[in-house]
Amino acid sequence: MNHAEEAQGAFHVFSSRNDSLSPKGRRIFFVSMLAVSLTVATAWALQGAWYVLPFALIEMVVLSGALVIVERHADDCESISIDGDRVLVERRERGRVSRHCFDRHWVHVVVRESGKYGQYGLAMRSHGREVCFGAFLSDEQRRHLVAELRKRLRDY
Amino acid sequence: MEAVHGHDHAHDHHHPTGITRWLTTTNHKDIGSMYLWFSFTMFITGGILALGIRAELFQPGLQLWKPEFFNQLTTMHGLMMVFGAIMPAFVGFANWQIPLMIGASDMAFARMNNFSFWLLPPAALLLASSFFVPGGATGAGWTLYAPLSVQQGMGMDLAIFAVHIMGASSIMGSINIIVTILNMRAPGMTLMKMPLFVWTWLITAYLLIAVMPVLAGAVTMLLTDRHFGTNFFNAAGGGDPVLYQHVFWFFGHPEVYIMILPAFGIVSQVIPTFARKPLFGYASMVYATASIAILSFIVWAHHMFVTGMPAAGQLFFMYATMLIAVPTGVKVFNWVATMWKGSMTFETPMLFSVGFLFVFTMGGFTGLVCAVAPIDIQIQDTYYVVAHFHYVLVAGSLFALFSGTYFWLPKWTGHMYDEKLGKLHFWLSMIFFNMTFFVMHFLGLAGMPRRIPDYSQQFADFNMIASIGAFGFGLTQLIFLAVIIKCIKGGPKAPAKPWEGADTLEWTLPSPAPYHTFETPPVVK
Repeated sequence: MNHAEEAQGAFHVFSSRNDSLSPKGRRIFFVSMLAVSLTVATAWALQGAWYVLPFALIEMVVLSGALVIVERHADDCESISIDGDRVLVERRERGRVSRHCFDRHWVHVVVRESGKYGQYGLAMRSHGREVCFGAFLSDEQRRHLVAELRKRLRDY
Repeated sequence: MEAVHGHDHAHDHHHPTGITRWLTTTNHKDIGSMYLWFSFTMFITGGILALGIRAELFQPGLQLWKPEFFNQLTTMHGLMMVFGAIMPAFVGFANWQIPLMIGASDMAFARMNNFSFWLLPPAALLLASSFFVPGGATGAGWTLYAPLSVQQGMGMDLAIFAVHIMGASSIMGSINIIVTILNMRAPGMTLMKMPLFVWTWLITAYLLIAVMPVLAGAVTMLLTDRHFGTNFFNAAGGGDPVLYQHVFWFFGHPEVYIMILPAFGIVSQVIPTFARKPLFGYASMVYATASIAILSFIVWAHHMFVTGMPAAGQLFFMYATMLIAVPTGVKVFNWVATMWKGSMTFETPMLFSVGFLFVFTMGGFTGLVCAVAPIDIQIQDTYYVVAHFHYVLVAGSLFALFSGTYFWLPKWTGHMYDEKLGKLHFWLSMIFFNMTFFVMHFLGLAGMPRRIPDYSQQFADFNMIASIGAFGFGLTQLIFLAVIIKCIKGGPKAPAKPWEGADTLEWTLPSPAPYHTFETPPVVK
C-alpha cells in the first residue's frame, strides 16, 4: 500500500505499479542506446557497409516500442476511497481511467484464494457488479486491506 | 541483502501442463529452463562435432573425413558452440536469475521472451540440416570470412539465415533483460545494490544491442553478394574482402565479451558465498566490467594483424588490446582478495569458480601474447590461438556456467545435487580440459596451422594427447547430465538457503522457487 490516509471519517488507499526507472531515466537510456547504435551504423555505412544501418534502425524501432509499452503502464495505479455513503474504486491502466462507484450500504468485499492479481484475490461487489482490485499489493497487504475495509463498511 | 516481503506460496497458481505449458509459457523460470536444455543439447551436438575433429587429428594423415567435411566440422562446431550453446546458456541463467535477484515477478515482456526462445530451435535445425544439403554445411569457419563464404553452396545460405534468426532472438532477449533490470528492480534496490550477475548482464545486453545489427548487416551483405549481384566483398567486382573482416570483428570482439561478462557475474556471486565474505571492491568490479565493454569496441582489428595494416594501426590496436588487461586484472585481483582470509569451503560451485580463475587467467595471459602484433603475426592461425580462445571460452565461460548451475540447482529443483559426482565432474573436466588444450600452445608455437585435417609428423604426439583429452572431456560431461537428472528426480531436500554465505534475494524464497515469485516486489533494505 503506497499511501493510506484518513481524514474526518473518510478513508483513502492508493497503490501504484513499481517502476524503478523514472521517465527521465527511460529517455536517457533510449537516447544513449540510439546514439551508440546509430553512430556505429553510420560509421559502417560511410565505410561502404551500409546494410548495418537499416538493421540498427529496425532494432531501435523495436526498442522504442518496448519503452512505449513501459511508458503506457508507468502511471498504472488504483485507489479506494470511502467518503460518506460512497465507495469509489478508481483504476488507471494504460492511461485509461475507470471509476466504479458503490453504495456503502450494499457493497461487500469478496476474497478468493486465487485471484487475478495473486493468490489472494480481492474484489468489490454490489448489485451484480464486481471490480477487482489489489493489483499492486502483496498478499499480506491485501489481507490487511480486507480487514480494514470490512471494519469500515461494517462500522458505518 | 535483506528483504521485507510477504509471500505465501503454499498454493501455486494454476498453469498449463504438458507440451502446451512449454510452447505457450511466458513464465521466466520455464523459459529459463528451456534455454538451458536447448543450450545443453547444442553443447552436446557441437561437442560431438569437436570429437569428430579430434578423431581425425588423432593421427597424421587422412583417416576419417575428407578435408572439405573436416572444414564443415570446425565451422559448425564454432557456430553451434557460440550461438547455440554459450549464448543461450547465459540467457537461460538471465531468465531464471535476474527476476529472482532483483525482486521482479517476471521478465518485462513475457510474450516476447517466449518468442525469443522459440526462434532458437528452428535456427538450430537450419544449422544442423545444412550438413545434408548439396555441398554440405558451410566450411568457411565460424567467422564466415569472405570471399570463401561468397562462393560456397547452399549450406552457407542456411547458416546465414540461422545467424539472422539467432541474432533476432538475441536482440529481443537483450531488450527484455535490459528493461527488466532497469525498470523492475524492487524498491530500495538501487543500481549499486544490484548483484554483480545482474550488473554484468545489464552491460552484456547493452553490448548485444549495440553490435547485433553489425552482424546482421555483415551476413546480409554476404547474402546479397551471393545471390543478388552486389559486390561488397567480391574483389572481382570492386569489393573488398577485408571490409568483411572489419565488420565481422567489430561485432565479433564485443561478442567475446558477451560470452564472458555474464561468466564474471556468476563467479562474482559464487566466490563471496563460499568465502563467506562480501565481494571485495564491488564498485570497482562494476566499473571494470563497464570498462571492458567500452574497450571491446576499439580492439577489433587485433584479429587482423596479418591483413596488411599501417604500423600506426597495429600499434593502436595492440595497445588498446593490452589495456583490457587492466580492468580484467582488477577483477582477478578482487576475486582473489575476496578469498583472502575467507572462511572458504570447496563445494562444486566453488571448485568450478576457483578452477575458472586459474585457467581463465591463463587464457587471459595468452590473449596478451596474441595482442602483441609482432608475435601475433607469427602465431596467427596456429593452434596457439585455438588454445587461447578455448582457455577463455571453455575454461572461462563453460566452467562459470557449470559453477552457476551447481550453485543455483538447489533453488531450481528443490533438491541438493550429488556432491561427490559434482566434484568428480570438476576434477575430470579440469584434467581433461588441460590435457586437450594446454598442449595446443606447444603445437601452435611449433607452427601447426589450425583448420587442417592432416599435419606433419612432428605434431603427432601432442595431437594424440589432445585427442585423448578431448574424448575424456566429452565423456565427463555425461556425469554432468547424470547429476542434473538425478537432482531433478530427487535427492536431499534443499533448504531455502543451502549456502551459508549466500545473501541475494533469491535465497529468501523457498526451494524450489515457486512458479510465481515476487508478484509484488519486496522492499530491499
